[in-house]
Amino acid sequence: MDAVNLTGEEMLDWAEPSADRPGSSAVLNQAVRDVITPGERVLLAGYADEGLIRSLTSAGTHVDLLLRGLTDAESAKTAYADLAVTVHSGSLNMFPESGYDVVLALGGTARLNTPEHVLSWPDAVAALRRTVRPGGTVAVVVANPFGVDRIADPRSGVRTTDDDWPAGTAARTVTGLADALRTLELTDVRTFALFPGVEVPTAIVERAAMSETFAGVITSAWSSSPQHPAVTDLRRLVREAIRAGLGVELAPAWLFVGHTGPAGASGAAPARAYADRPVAPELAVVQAYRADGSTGWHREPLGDRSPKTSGKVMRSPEKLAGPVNAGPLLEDILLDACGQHDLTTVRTLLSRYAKWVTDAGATLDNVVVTGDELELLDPSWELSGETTAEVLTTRACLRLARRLQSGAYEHPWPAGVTVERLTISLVATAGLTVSPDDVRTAAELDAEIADAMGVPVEESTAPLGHREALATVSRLTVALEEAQAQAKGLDELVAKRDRQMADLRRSITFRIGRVVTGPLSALKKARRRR
Amino acid sequence: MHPQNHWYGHSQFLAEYAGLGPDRVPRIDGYLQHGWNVHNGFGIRTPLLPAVTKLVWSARPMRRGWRYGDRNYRIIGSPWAYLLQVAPAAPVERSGTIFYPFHGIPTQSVTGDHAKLAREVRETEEGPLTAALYWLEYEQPAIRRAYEQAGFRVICHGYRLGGFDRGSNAMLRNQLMELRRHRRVVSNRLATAVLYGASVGCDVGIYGDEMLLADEHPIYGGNARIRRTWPQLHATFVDREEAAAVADEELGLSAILSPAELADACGWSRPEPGETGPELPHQRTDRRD
Repeated sequence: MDAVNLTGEEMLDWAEPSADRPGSSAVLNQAVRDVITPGERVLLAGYADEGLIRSLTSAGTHVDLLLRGLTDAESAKTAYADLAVTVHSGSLNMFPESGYDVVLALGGTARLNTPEHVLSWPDAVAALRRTVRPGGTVAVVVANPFGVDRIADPRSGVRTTDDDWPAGTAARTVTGLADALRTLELTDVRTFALFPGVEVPTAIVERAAMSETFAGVITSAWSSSPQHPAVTDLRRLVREAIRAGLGVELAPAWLFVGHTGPAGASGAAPARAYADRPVAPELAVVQAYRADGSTGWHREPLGDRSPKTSGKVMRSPEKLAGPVNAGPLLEDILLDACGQHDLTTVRTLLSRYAKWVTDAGATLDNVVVTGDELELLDPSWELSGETTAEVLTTRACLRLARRLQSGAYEHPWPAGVTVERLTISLVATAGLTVSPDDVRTAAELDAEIADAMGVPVEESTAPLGHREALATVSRLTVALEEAQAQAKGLDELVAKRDRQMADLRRSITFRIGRVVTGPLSALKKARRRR
Repeated sequence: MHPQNHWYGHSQFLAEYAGLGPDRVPRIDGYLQHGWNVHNGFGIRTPLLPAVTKLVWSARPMRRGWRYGDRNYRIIGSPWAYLLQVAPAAPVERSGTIFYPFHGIPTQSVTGDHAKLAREVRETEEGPLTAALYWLEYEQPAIRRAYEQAGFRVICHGYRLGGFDRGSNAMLRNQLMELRRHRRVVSNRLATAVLYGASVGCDVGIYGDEMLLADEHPIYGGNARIRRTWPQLHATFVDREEAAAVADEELGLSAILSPAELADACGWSRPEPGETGPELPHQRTDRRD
């Protein structure tokens, strides 16, 4: 076929906006490749990822792409001209093809609608099911309207882009996990929770695997950035949702994989998870997790295992293979201890950390506490060049100080303290003494590493969310009241001292003293004049 | 607000339905969609002031407009839908076919072979034939002749502007009367007249050379896009229910507003019962268009 196949209701001059988060699509692609058998014909609806398309076609599968934007479709037609790919442009509503072995709608269902027709959630599911052969596989990503990202998004429900406007008119959208599963009506269905959202999910955790073991992996999907203001610190919200056993129900999105037709004979597949940090594509290493007996989780790096480099940062995928160090994140324990004003725990852990740390990869959010030991969660990171433990500890404390401030966490240090001053206090808690210059050096190192990793520098110390703003206002109000009270107290003290001085000058003792010392002081003055 | 609001006597039907009394052409506080449209309800070359309310026939033009950054839409249904309310049908025996060749506008002409088209319709249809030409084509004797020679009765419903001043908001009323007398409505493209026909019970046929429109803006995607979007309407004999369903959606037939809500949408105040109502400003024009 020479041109894009126009199937009706296409958007003539439309290209989907690119994701505004770091991270690559490799995690979703690898997860999907791992859990589906592609067969001969695959339909990719509303999602055209080069990695996935090349992986499918190289395995001998014919790929059909359905893209609503004609601009996107024409680009795809050119890009995949030499592959077994057919490009269709139009809405899911009018898509006439059927009989696919596998249908993948991995970009969410909103991108299958056009202004001509906005399908309700059940109608979109029905239309997707029509395209697959009986017994075929359906994998669909569904955005959760009650996900943590929506709960924490101050713009939630506000239509911001031109694309949000037509999409917002769907007669009925999915209401929750149970509704999604009931409407999809797939057999042998596997449910995965996606973080941080439909766009570039970097943590994909199957329902049965959802536990605090993955809390660190999941929360690393977020970093506070001015582009994504939140009414509360998402990492805290997610962590607490997982602790409450609601990690899947409150996930920003889900991936469902299942079949149409009767259930298969095979039992339930063992639970899996797939994740990576949201980093630049050249450093991406997708990791697959599977249960390792009853003892814990085993991790396996997928894809190319050769070492990766970006700037000073190196990554060795080989080091990821093996059992996962399970335990609470050091950063979480420290945040909790700060909130409880438990400086003993902070002191013990930071001192232990300062003696233990040897590598730049060991930031507090990448260290787990296993009994009395500290272990790396993701041991693949390295930094070229010499860095002292003092600099590394300062950097770790700097990051903790930023987290405490931008997340408006309760802590034992004075309200209104600067990040720099708080860092110095935290380092002192670890038993080290550093200067403001040392903090600046650590900040430069942190910025350099963030740049090489392709992630935003978390330097936002101003509260971004409403909760953080309220907490900060409350703390600053206390600080201001205290400062005013202090000034008043000092004023009163000065006045009291003045009164005492005046009383003193009037006393007999003072006057007798003056008579005695008077001639001597007159003589001193006379000599000075001379 | 805009002279287009008065085309085809649209504002008059709306005013009559809203209870402002006949023969009033009040100014509408907004832009009224004047024809079936596959963009945002208005011509891409029609200058629209930002933030002014756009009164459209159905949800599709609203959603398309949103996607291009337009806001402030209000769906009121088509003036045709209101005409059907104020001009109830008298029982008339239907016969034959009324044919609407795709028409141009003063700034965009249409090129095609009318004689060939007339022959094709003649060969396909049974019974008496009527060719309803747009005034632009009607004023060209060669085109009229092409249909006359093929045995058509050739008519023109009227002009789209100037009707009020000559006491002829008659164009749409004429069209309604003609459509109600015919069994089938046929055109070489899906266009407003076909939907009007389907809305009053005509069977629909769309076939024949679709002709060429000069200087068509790419934002519409051409007639090919219309064929892809409404494939069910592109056949010699279209399923009546399918045609009626499209007409219902596109003309907003089953979603018309109450007189009070329509008056509110148009920015009119309705007279109290027994009162003749305030003198409303109205638009006059003698331009024939």
